Amino acid sequence: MDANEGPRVWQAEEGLHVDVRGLPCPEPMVTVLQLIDSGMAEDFLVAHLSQEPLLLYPELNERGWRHRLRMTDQPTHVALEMTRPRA
Amino acid sequence: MTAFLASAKSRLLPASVPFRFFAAASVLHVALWVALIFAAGEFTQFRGGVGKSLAAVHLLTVGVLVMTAAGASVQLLPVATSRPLAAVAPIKIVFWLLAPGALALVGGMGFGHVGAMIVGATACVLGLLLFAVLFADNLRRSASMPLVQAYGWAAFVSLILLLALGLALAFDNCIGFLSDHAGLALLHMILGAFGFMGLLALGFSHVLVPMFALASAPKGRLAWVGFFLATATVALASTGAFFGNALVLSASCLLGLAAIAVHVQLMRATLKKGMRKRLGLSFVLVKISWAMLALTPLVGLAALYGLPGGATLFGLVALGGWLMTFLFAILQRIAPFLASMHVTRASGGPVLLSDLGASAPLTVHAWCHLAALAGLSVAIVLDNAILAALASAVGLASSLAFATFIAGIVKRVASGTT
Repeated sequence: MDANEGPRVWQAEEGLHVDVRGLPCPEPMVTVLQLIDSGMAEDFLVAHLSQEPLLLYPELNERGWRHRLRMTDQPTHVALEMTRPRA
Repeated sequence: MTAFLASAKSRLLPASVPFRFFAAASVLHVALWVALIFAAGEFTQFRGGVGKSLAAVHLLTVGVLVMTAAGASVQLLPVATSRPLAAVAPIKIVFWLLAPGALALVGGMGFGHVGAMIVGATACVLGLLLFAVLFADNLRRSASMPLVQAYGWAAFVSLILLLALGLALAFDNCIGFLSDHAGLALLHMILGAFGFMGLLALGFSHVLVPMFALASAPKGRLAWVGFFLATATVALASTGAFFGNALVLSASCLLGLAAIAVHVQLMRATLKKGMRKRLGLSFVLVKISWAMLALTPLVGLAALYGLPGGATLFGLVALGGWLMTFLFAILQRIAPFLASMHVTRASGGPVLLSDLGASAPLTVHAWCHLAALAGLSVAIVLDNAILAALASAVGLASSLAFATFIAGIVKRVASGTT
């Protein structure tokens, strides 16, 4: 993805995905939180990033979302799976 | 089947690395206000020269501002640029040169000991040169943030010139080879406050303000106009100081007003479109620091055209009102943020930012900090030493409150739990 392009969002069978690779800091974090706070992500979201989103973790914790890294086959591709536990 | 990874956190430094800088800055912040109490008799008329006032100024600049900026930069720059620092050991060397170097420098200045001053200045310069190398290496490998990179490179150039001048000024106290010590001291101040620290603060604002407000970073033509105006202001002011030309210095103040107007407009627009509207006490301080930044060129102009105490007031508004207020506002946001990545909750589950850092000390710090700056400003205009001492005592209360806040976070990071 080119840095001038916006994020790519698509619906997969398991839930919403967003690709924010190539976006400058803090755009990846802002895009993910926009999807969560707007309700678009509902209870599940996978973000595709070019690095581990360290600054995002405290924000997810504050919102009660859990997160874990998925293994990918590219060193510059990090997939973060985020879920909101059902009450 | 999906496979999962443990968090690598490859760009996260050991907590002890950034927090040693923050802890040292907090202690030297206390020392700054103590030094100002002792310097109250001469500070209101400070025009440069070795003594307690010069020591207090360098406690602020090297001890508080540079120490905080170095600690924050080594952790935040790799996260922002997506490029890890080359190694951790050199950052520790930066600290072990800078911290004792700052103590020797201010001790030498305060007690008029030229040898200690030169040893301290040399250690600080070596530490900051190493920091500059690490900083430049990270900027060089970054590709995704051209505007922040541009601010970073301009700050880097200012830092190199600032260090060369600082060392020359220190040695000049011993061998007297500079023809215009006062003029070069003003150039040193401009390169430090507006070149290195100022451009670093403006550049990082393009990442930190949107990060905390949850907004897109400023971009486009206006953001670049802001950069060119800011760097042109520093270049013009440096030229004016070097040649001792009041007209050029006046022009740099006017250009600076335009640069500030663009920066504040960009930041206001960022806050307006941010998802997080309630930004708390830290952003009250950030906004006050922007007001102080806007006041700086006006006080500079007044000083050039004869305002009593104008030069001292200019230094106070720029270094204390703008930079110190801004850095403490940002530090009170990023310290809990960084700590949250290094600790676990004793009761289980993820760490919340609200678990880290007490709010009462920050409230005391904010009120006392602002009251101290206001009191010192009045003391300078009235040339009143007693008022300066009282204001410094209030400043001391602010520094103790902030040190309590940082100590609470360091204690949690050291224990590893909240």
